[in-house]
Amino acid sequence: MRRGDLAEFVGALEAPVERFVREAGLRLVLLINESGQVLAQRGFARALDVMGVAALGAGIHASSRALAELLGMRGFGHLHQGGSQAQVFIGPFRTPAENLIVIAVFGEDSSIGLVQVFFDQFTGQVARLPGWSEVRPTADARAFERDLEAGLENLFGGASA
Amino acid sequence: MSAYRELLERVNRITGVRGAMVVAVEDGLIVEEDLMVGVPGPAAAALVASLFRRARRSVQAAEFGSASYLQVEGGEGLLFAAAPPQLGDLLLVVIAERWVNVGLVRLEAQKVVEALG
Repeated sequence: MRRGDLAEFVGALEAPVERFVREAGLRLVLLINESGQVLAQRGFARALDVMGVAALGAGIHASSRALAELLGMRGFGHLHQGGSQAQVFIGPFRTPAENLIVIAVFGEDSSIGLVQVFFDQFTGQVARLPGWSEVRPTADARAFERDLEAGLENLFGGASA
Repeated sequence: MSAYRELLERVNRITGVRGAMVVAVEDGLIVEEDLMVGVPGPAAAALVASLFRRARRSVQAAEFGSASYLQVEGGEGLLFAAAPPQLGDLLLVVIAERWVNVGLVRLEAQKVVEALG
């Protein structure tokens, strides 16, 4: 996604992300594309945390997809890491525009079952949004880093980290 | 056939029952299911488990012991969840028509669960 597109298309994600957080009882959520560009977030206070989680989440997704391919599959539906205090859900999904990844953190107020149910609804809503329901040209290599920065600026303004 | 499958089949024989599931309370995931076509199992399982966890906390906060049954009546149907000790951290969830004989559902569920234990 290019810098010029960002405000319009990212703005359209606000309502579905907000609903997903509320209905699934999430503590944190991050929506990124496969390049690691941040498109939406809820619950993070600092851009530095967002960058770290986005990078790690994209890396975990890439590793798991490589593992799935080794096992003869196209990929896993989602990844879930349980824990006593918090649990992590990483869910990739396709839109006509590009492939996206949700990284969600939830606690004992929610459950993996709830997150799965509302994740399915969320992906359907995003895929129907204007801008996400049609194929767009992807960013070229020169624009990659600039667009990563644009994503963070869009979410946190000029005062990142 | 698993013991849970037998449990579900016996509950499903009751007139008005549209399906039954064994669901993990903490995860809200289905362990075993026997549902009529069109019943949204995963969503019902996740949401009923969530309701039950909250009900259980409410009962504990009121110092009423542990919650064992939950029943939600809708305009066109009924959700019933039971957490007998024999099932450990699992719930028996029954989805039924509103006019189902709830007493019979509870009785049948209790009998089968006791047989499991």
